[in-house]
Amino acid sequence: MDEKNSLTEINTVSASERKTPIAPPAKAIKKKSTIVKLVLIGVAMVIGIILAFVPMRFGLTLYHPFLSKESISLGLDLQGGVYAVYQATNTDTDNFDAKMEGTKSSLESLLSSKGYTEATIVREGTDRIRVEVPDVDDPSGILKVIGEPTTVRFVLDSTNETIITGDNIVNADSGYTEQNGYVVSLEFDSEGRKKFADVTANNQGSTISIYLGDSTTPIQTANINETIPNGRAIISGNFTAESSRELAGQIMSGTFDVALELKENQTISPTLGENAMKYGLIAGVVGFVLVIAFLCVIYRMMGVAASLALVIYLIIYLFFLAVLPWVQLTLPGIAGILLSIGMAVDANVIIFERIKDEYRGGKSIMAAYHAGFKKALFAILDSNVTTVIACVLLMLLGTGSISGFALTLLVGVLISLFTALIVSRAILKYFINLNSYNAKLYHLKRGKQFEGLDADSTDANVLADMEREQKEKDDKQQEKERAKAERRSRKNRGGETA
Amino acid sequence: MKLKEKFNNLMDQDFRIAEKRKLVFIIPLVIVVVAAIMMIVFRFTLGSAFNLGTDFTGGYSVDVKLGNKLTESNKQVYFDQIEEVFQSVTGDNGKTYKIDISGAMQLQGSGDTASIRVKYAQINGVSENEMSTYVNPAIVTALENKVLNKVPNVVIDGKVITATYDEVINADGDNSPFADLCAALIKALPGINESTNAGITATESSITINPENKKQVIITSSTDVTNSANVSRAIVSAMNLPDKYSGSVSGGDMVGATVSTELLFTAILAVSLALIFMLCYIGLRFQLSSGLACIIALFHDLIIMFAAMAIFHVEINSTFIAALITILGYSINNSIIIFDRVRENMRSIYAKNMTPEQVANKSIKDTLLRSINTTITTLIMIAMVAIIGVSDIRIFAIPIIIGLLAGTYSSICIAPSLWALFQRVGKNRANFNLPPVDKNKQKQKGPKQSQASA
Repeated sequence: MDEKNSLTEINTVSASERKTPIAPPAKAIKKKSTIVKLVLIGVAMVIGIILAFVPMRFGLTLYHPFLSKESISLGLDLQGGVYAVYQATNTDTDNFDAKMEGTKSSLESLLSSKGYTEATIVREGTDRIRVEVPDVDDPSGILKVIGEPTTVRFVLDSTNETIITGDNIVNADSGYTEQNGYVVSLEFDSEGRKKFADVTANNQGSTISIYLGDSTTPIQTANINETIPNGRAIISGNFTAESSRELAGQIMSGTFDVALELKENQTISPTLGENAMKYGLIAGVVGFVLVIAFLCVIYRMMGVAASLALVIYLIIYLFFLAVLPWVQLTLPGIAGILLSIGMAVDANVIIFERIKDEYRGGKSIMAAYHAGFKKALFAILDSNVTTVIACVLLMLLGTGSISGFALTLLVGVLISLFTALIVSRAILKYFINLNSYNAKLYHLKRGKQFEGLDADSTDANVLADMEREQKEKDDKQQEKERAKAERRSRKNRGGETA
Repeated sequence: MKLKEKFNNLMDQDFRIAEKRKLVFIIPLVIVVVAAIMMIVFRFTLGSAFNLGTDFTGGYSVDVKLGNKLTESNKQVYFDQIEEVFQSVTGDNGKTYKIDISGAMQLQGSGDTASIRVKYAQINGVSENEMSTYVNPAIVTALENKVLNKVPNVVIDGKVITATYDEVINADGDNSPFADLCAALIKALPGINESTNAGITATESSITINPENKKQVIITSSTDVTNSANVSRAIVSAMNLPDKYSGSVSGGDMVGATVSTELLFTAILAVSLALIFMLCYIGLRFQLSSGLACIIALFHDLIIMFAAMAIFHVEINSTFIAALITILGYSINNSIIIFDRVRENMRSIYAKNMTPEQVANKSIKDTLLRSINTTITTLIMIAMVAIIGVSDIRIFAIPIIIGLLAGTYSSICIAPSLWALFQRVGKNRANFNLPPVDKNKQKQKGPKQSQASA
């Protein structure tokens, strides 16, 4: 804060020295409010840093910062997880190999629909499938996720006839409806749709039981309440969020092409462990400090503004990593985040180079700042939109770890847009408000034609321009509102007379 | 200072990059040709053009279940032993194979059920049949002999040698571990005596298990045993107790690829769609020719990354896909910033008096500082990862660094000169000071005077 106060002092001296104190009277007030705003940003940053990095204890509850194992879910390589090996029980069927592949991809989509995008599924030997799921500590946790794959059949109780098997089920998912609370929704293929439509039309009032494997006790029995012609059925009952998910999972696991039995499951230790995390963190800190140093040397106060924005970028990024459930941090993820810090600087660099250009071309610092941001805006937006396009498509179409990685990148791009175009813009504006005449502070140089020009010679004009623009905007807004109000009142009057 | 002046002088001069098309395109072409040659060389020497990891190709896996408890301290010893075994495996057919372990060894389970999982790819030039009949069983046996040993702690005190194991030694019956140990010792002791002059005179009857502590085997010699490091090392290695009784090695089974063809297919589909959408977006916001130049520059970067992987024969695993995606996002940024300047410079009234090359050069010059500074900040971060990070993270950082450099090169050199080239074709010519198309194919010359915008 000392620095800022001294800046104010210098200003008052130099302003009196100069012949034409063209600064409008509002400026002095602005300075005070600017300092207040900067202090507020500083306080917010400190709070953010504490929330992001410092573990705390409030009485008995422990607070985990954004950057901690507890907050960010880690991938198999960093955190370990569990694995399970499933063995096909019946290998004598036709097209066994194709069916195993089909089962494998069913498992893949089942796991990624449950949020385990980083799970890996591999065929072992000819008749085994190995599933590795990260971020689950308990070996039996994997069973909760995929259940014990087996066959599923829907049996009409009155005739004891099997109407639907796993082959006919396209999807089973848990859902919530206003009337029935938590439900399990089913979707059948064309064959299943027809059968189910026939059976439900002819057997209203009787019950359907769902059996798993060779078991004779149904996991669920449901009443047929109405004809279901469209192949979309809903099982309702006293479900909770968890039990509906469990039933949906059990039914889904019965849709696999091959019946599987669990052979073994165990925990997996992380392959990289503490060291990878530790050195990744050190690399990050060292790189971060170097980047900030680089920015401050090349762009001075502008660099300081960008560095502050970068810290805020990091805090927000860590927050999203901790909050978004689909983001699972793996080793490439860490490298990707570190890289994104380097990339987040890009927008600032573009803007600052523009400001330098504008200043070189004879504008005052304030004017160069406004023109710089304005001119850089579309370059930044266009370049980031293309990256967003790529990320979104990879997220939607890509499977497994690819979509997870694309999401991490997407979050980084969006946050960097926010910090570069809004945060660093605001901070830099406050800096210039405090000192708009010392070009050296911003490492700005005049071009040859404009060497004699004062750094803030045209500020009064700029401010006047800005004021005029603002006024025009306000006027337009008022005009609009007035027109709106008028329309409304006319309408009301019209309504009354009619 | 000198450097700074030089740089300022450089910035005062007019750039001539877009004109030097041949030079600009030859550099990446040379890299690709070198890569192609190396790929052919590797194809015939090592058996595969690319060094694809088991993530893509699948391979084999072995589970080493240990009798000993796996702890943080003995973990590394086991890892090293396993690595050593894989370095040279001799099959029943008398051939010796050197096998590279793919990726990191994985620790499974904990406590008594702990095991180490090792993955390795099919050796180049060795058939699947040979792998399953000779190599895989040989690996399992070699691991059993080498890794599954219980190493005792040996103390020599006068005539008595005490070897303490971690676990109780089973001494029941003729086939017990203890019986095996006795037999092995009787065989090995004369050799030890000869090489170290230890003076052990033990017979089978003087090798016993300590009745109070069944983890200890006591050898009693009739004369004093020399207590030296040499002797105790020899005794320790002779008393390595095979751990076959409690541990086991299983596997040599085929494992599929973690990166399935389906995943690769959807990734390629997603990337292609992304490219089309990006082309549309750039075509709308800029020109179609800018979009094409961007996409070609992007392809250049990805190809260079592949070329580098081929030249150095670095293992390509699933993290490489992540590296490609990162560069995909990063590289397009670079080109667009330049085309943004092109768009702006085209709006200036002077554009009509310039050749497309001059517009491109001016845009390159205008954005050069930004290109350099951004590349520096990005390189700082990723270079730190490469320098400080652990080896696995380095595998990811190196292709990214190559991609970054390629991206900077392509955005400065390739994309603008391609754009300038496209402007010479078709209707676009009207926007520039270009002579009408000359059918005699004479060399075109740019206008003599072009005013730079102030």
